[in-house]
Amino acid sequence: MKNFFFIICLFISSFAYARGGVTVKTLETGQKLIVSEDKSLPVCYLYMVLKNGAIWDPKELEGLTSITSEMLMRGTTTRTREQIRDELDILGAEIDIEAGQEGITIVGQTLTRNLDPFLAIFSDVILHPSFDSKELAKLKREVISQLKQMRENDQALVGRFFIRSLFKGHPYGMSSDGKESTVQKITENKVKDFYRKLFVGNNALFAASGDLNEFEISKKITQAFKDLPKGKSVSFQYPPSPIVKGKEIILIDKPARTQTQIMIGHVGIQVLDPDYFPLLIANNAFGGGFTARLMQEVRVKRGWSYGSYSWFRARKTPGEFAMMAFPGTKDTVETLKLMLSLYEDYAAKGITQEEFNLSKNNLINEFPFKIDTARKKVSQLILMELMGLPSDYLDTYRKRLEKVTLEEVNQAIQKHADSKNLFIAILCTAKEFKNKLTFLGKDTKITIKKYTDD
Amino acid sequence: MVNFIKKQWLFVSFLILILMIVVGVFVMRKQEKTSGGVMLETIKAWGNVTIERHKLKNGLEILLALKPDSPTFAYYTWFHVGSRNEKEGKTGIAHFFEHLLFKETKNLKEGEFDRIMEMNGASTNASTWVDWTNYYAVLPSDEDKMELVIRLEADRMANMILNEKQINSEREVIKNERRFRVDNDVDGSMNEALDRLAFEKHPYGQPVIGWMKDIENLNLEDCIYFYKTYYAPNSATLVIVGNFNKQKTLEWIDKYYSPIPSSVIPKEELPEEPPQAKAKKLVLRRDDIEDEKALYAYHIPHYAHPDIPPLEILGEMLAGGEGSRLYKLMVIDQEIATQVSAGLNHLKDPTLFQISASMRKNQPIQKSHNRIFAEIKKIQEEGVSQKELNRAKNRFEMDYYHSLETVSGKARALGQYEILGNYKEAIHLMRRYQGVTVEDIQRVAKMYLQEPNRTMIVGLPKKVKKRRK
Repeated sequence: MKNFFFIICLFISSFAYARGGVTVKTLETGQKLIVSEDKSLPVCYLYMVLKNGAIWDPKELEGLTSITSEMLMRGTTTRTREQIRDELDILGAEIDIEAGQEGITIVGQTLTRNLDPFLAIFSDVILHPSFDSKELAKLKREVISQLKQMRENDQALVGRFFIRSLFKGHPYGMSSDGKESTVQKITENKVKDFYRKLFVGNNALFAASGDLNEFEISKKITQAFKDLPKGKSVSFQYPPSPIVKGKEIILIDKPARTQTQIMIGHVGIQVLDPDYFPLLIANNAFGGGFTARLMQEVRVKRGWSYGSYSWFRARKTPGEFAMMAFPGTKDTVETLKLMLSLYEDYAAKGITQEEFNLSKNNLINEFPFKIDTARKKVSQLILMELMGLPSDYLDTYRKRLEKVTLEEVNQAIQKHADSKNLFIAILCTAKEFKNKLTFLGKDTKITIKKYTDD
Repeated sequence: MVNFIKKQWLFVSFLILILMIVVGVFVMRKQEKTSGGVMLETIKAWGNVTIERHKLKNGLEILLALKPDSPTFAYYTWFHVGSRNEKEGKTGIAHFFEHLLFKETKNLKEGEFDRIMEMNGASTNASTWVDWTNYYAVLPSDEDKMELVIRLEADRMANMILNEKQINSEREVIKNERRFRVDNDVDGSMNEALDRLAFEKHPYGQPVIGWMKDIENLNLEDCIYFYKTYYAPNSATLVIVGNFNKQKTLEWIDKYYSPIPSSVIPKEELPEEPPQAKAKKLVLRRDDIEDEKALYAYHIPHYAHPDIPPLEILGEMLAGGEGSRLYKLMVIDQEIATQVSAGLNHLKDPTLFQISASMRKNQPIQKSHNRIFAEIKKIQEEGVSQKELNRAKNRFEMDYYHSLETVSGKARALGQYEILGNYKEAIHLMRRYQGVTVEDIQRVAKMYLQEPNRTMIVGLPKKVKKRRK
């Protein structure tokens, strides 16, 4: 009888909507469940997503969300880290945890024949982490070593310095993986408190894709996570976005570089900005693809850099607009001048009718790639949930692009592209450059940092 | 008796041959009406995918993999040419073409190819490897778009305009690519040094991107010869995966590709790599190396050899994920390394089994040598357990399915194995790996992971830092 009641409850809670090969429903336990079936390969994917992330890290404990999330895999009340690993390996399964700034995603993949034993481990690591102090100490040492290793990757390094400096004092300026000095301060108690705050039913949603049955997986997830505490839903109070005045340069000094990494930008727009779609078209024309201005001018016409792109990251509050190139040392100053002048021209005059047509058609026509597998469909819906996008976002995506006019695009550029106030990060062997940057004017603030700085 | 069997066998073979010709003619007649080519076979794979193999008279091979529920299709052109076909002093030319083929043709001005493709929502790119070069376009499913991509791909197979201006402009881009991938990248530099040291004769020792000096010296004449020789239908395989109209696709392929003449491809005469009799080692010191690291390589056979599956599973056991022997020992338990990995590439000719390790701060690389060589010795002497083998096979199986998720993933798998010998290997890959036994693992560890067969590259920070005791 209880079982019958349980099935009726599930039935009633279903049907928020089901379209485009995706079903979205609300589970008996209150969380949303997004499912997309694809039976062509004998594998399936399960997701638990938490709708808050590393922006909650206290400044002095940067990296706390990431460490807390990773600790899930370091032992439960009934399984050691080694047992978790061994059991997953025997099943041919994986669990990956990505602690982003505005969401934490725990994604598991398994061969379908092993779904039940996999789900038992998946729910155990999420519901019953032991937060063993020895494992925590070990993880902290591991993260600090990885932060040091990251210094070998010039592109990752320049990106880190750029974001940290552009969003100085704002949570977007923190790195999810933390800093050496802050990771060291993370304690067992802080981790446990953080877990209790974020890993609650009111902050969670589930998703599944692949070779599975929507009705069956709903039952299984509901059962497996019935003990997830409901908790409180948390809402983050964002501080105002930082403002760059004039041009600021940071030279990240690294020895023996024969190539420079340049990143230039400012604060952009938020995801729900009405100018989102016009700017999508604008940026695609300026630095989105191979035919875009940046790539044509920097790479195709001059051969100065293997690639040159621009992007704006639309987040819950304004994220960065940035452009980048990586020229050989001898071409660095000229590339920098060119990028700045291209951006000045773009900000002043916008894009042409021909560029507009190409960019708009490209974005409309490439839409199917956002949803061409079950896993991508589910990922898109998760993103919509995390960013607070309307439920018809995907259904109306192409129509909204189609409606945009060239005038709207150029008005959006005028409003948001700021070529006067820019932050510039350059990773190079600094002594060769500082004196060559006088063309930027004496008001330009230049700071030199060592690539090993925290 | 033996002669009798031989005669009987000859007779049966003769009958089979006759049957094949009859069936072939029948199929060809049927196909000639629509495609001008021959359908060689059709099979089912990966749930609802139907794969057909066709061949045009000019030698172009076509694999059509129809997946009716996909909103997109992937169009891959695989050329059976890679850095293996490069002569000393001309390294990087195969990769150079990966860039040049996006330039001007007799029918399209420079930049038009990309403009048209982007307008249609295509994602395009290319890649070059030791055994092959591929060019791809992935597009939304649509008949007009299919005809478009067939027309443009056939055009650049036959009609590229090669001149000094384009070669010089792309040369600068490629030099910057090399700076990015190799000269300013620690792992890139170490991998290049490893191949150079491990291979004494075979062109697998040359970098795919080419030596900087060679990139600077490649000229128009080299490029014209390479294009005329290798960019021809009898040097290529088309792989199309996704949702499309099969009949129309075959008609368009016939229309646009059949007029392209086949070329005379020189017989491949590659030097055989002599057996390595003595261990080799090179130390690289660089300013940008943070902590000590090493690459270890052992010569192993080509992809089709039966020892490849046990060797690949052995790599999984040594360093595939947290539960593997070396990861558990060096990264988790002893905390001396940040990273350890092991594996091999599927190549036409004998290749390398590689292990890599990056140490933590103040940890000497000698500890890595000691742990890795001791673990190999342990497997050689004691073997591995069935449980460990099952774990590695399951992980391998999961990775295999994961790689096939998209239309591009399937096209890559079909094309790569067709270049290596037979596309069906991509479908039945797991059969070959499921048969691996614990005895196989111990045997290949003993046979190949021997000191004289080993090449090592050690990367050290230029400034020697004082170590903690």
